[in-house]
Amino acid sequence: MTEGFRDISRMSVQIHTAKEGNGTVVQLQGKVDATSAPSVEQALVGVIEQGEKRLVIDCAGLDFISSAGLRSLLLAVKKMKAAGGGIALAALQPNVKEVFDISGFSALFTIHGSKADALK
Amino acid sequence: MKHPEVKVTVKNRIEDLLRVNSIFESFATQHDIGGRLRYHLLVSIEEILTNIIKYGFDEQGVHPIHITFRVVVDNVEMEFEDRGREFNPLEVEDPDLVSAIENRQLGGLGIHLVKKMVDAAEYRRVGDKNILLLRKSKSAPTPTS
Repeated sequence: MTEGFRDISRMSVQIHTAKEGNGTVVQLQGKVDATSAPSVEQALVGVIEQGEKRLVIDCAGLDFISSAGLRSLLLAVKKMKAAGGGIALAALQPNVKEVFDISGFSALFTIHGSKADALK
Repeated sequence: MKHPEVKVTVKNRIEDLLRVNSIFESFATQHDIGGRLRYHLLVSIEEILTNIIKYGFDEQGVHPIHITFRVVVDNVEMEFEDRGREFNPLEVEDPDLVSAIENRQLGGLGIHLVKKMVDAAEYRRVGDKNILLLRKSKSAPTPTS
């Protein structure tokens, strides 16, 4: 991985991770595409490896996802399932939701209208 | 100035996707391509380009990929041309859309998205070139799911 690759990734997506209530929220802002999906995967796997069983991905600011992003999410949800936990998605924008629907991914996650609902 | 056709040549490396995206974004703005239509085209560009980069070339090294965006009457056309090995992405096996988490596989998902998001896709092998043409109406909505 070159230095330039990392710089570009940082521009495509911003990832904020925080403990909230009885879970961890990973907030994604921007684009999860082929250039930024590896950093998203790393962040999600990091949370799971710390033993978190309740992970909420806040997608309110996520305005693009491609199959590379789906691949990272699938890898994370497989790891989480094996660890006995679950991943919920919150506040999917319509275009992103459509990608989930077309890919059959909507059935793999609990999907909530808002982060607050997902944390209930 | 509104250009009916824009061409860009990139290398077979993933970070060049961002340059293609930015050229497409300015082309799309000039032609009033927005919203869901723009999203579908951006996803298609990424899926095709990453496919060519990942699977198109047998040997290491730098290979050019030529991309053309154009508006023909009411259609947006996107053409991808490379000199990689013969490969028709439209023949990729359909993905697994139904298995439970443990067994879910990811192969073919990108091409599946493209097939759902454009109106027409045509592959041709011309000499040593792979040429893939995607077409999508600017006005008619694409039914999906």
